[in-house]
Amino acid sequence: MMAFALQHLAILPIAIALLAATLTLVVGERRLAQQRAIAWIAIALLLSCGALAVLRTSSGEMFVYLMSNWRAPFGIALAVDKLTAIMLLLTSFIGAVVMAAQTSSRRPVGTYFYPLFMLQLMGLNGAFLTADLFNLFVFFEVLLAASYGMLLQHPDRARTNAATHYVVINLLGSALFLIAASLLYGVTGTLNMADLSLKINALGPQSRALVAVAGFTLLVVFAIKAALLPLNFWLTGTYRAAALPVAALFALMTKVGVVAIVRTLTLIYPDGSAIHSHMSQALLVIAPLTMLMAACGALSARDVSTLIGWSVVGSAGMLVTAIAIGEPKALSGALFYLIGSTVATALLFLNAASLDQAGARVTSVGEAGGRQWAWTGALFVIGGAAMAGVPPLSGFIGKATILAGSASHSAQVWVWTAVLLAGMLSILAYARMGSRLFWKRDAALVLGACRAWGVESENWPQRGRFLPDLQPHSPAMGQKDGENWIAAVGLQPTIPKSDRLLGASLVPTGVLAIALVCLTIFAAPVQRFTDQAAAELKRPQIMIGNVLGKLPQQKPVVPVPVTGVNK
Amino acid sequence: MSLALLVALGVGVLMACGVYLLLRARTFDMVLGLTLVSYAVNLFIFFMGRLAVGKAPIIRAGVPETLTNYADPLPQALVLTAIVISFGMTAVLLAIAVRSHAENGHDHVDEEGRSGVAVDTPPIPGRTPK
Repeated sequence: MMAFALQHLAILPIAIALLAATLTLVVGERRLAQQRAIAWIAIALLLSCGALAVLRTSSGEMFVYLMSNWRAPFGIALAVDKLTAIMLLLTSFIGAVVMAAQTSSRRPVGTYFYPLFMLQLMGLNGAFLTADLFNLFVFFEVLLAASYGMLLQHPDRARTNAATHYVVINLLGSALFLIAASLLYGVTGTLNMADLSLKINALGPQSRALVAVAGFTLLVVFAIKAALLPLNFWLTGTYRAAALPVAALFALMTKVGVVAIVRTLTLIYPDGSAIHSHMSQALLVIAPLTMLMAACGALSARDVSTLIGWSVVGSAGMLVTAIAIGEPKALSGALFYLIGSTVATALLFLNAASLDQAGARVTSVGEAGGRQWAWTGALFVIGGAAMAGVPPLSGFIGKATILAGSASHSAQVWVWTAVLLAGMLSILAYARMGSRLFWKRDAALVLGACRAWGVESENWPQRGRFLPDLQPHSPAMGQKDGENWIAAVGLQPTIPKSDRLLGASLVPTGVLAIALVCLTIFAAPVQRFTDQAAAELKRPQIMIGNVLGKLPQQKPVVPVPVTGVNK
Repeated sequence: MSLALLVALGVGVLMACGVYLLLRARTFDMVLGLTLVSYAVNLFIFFMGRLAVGKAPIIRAGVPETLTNYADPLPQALVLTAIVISFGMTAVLLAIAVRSHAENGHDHVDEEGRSGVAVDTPPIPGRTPK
């Protein structure tokens, strides 16, 4: 069993998620309990795969998997290095927490939630695992297609409008990605990232221009995904419109762009080539500006979802700044910051969701204050502090490491100014929003605060608007089912029967908060791992040697009986 | 050379028309624009396997297996994947566009049209505008 898991470690995170997505579809749209059970089993398996990957790669191993047993430049290769291992574990962890939030939520799940959720995880895992550029495009499309469906859960006007923008910009991004990938293929004759790295290095000067154009086009595509400055305007609207648990899962989506930028700058165009330095110079201008703009956006945000959305943009800016600096220490800090900021984003979005649920109760009882508010307030502080990088929490450690790593860089003054200024502005933004939300304790203002969450609350007061959309869409549903559905959705009491329901919604956020605290307490071992990961990224030869050197499995040859004339 | 020029011009014209339509910021125009862009991209991928006349990608016995004798099969596989994906995505976009028209009563991509003024669009036959 263990040997099997180790041999197929690189394909398992994709295969499990795909299998679970298929099974949830086969089980049928109506059997939600079975769908949920399948999804939980898959999540548990994905978590153990992630943990296994982290454990095994920490000893310096790198797993390469040749699809269909084809040797590397010819077939598609998957590779698990330390960066991939971190991302796999993080993805399955956030996935588990979002599942828990969805399970504890009183809101009925949308159409095909579980299959879409599993396909989204499959796309994320595949995008982190693949060592092939065109395969990366395919997994991008898988995760994007799933995210379109996730965004349009319980569609209403705001969601439809946000989805239009989101889909169009991503389709345009995909077109650019295809241009870049095929241009690289046209020049070098390969799509394997490791092989690309070698081939680009060996190119003559007359092909350099084409390869540079392809590289910068790739960067534009990944900048759309990671939401860097001129290409980030889709993000806040989309995240604001998405259902809150879905938005928590979307916290991972910008990180896909960031990881792809890491691969571009460390593997395809590694340190030392002329194109690499042009790229990092460009990113060193754009990324700190992204951070500053995100901080200004956060300060001007009127509702929490927009505030968190801008923080996501800011964290992407911070990560790309560190990647562009390229010192091993900055890179290690970036990986640490990536873990912390993803967890903090998910925490903030899920916290917003639980407050949104609690909000109805408080407004309808007409009395603000209560333990739920205290808890959500505390969680908001933790998430905000981690996001803004205030000293006690993990965000600060990552940020400090990045600052230390950029100390000897020529752009130090610019980077430090941007990072520190953006940090200060986002602390202000979170303090302002927190005091608006939690310290004005009277019922009317709490209702206002609920509106300020930027979510059309599922409970109050626009409840009537939701009913038409919640009717079953599936023609497979009978009359009776439809009536049950309406009864479950429409006649549900606005006031939950007990605090337990609300308490349950605090569990996933609480887990995330504990994870953040643990990340702070056990920062040393995590940083050792990210240090090793950064060192591995700085030496692309390791990846290249492992991917191209991996030999296909020798199978015992079964003699084929020769029949007839074979010309 | 003239073939390459013709092909490059074709891809460029398709791309330019697609980008122009995308910038019109109306859902139907954007669907058309993205379709044109994906045509341009698909042709581009295809031509990245080099322009070759009268060469098949199928290996024949006795002919050395180099790209001077055969067409490159990989871009053909890539373009097939790209076509399928862009086809599916266009379908998704159409569904969203129809829904957006139903929700907003107009086909501008921004909620209120530009500068908060409702956009005048011809009403759907048989339906009163909202």
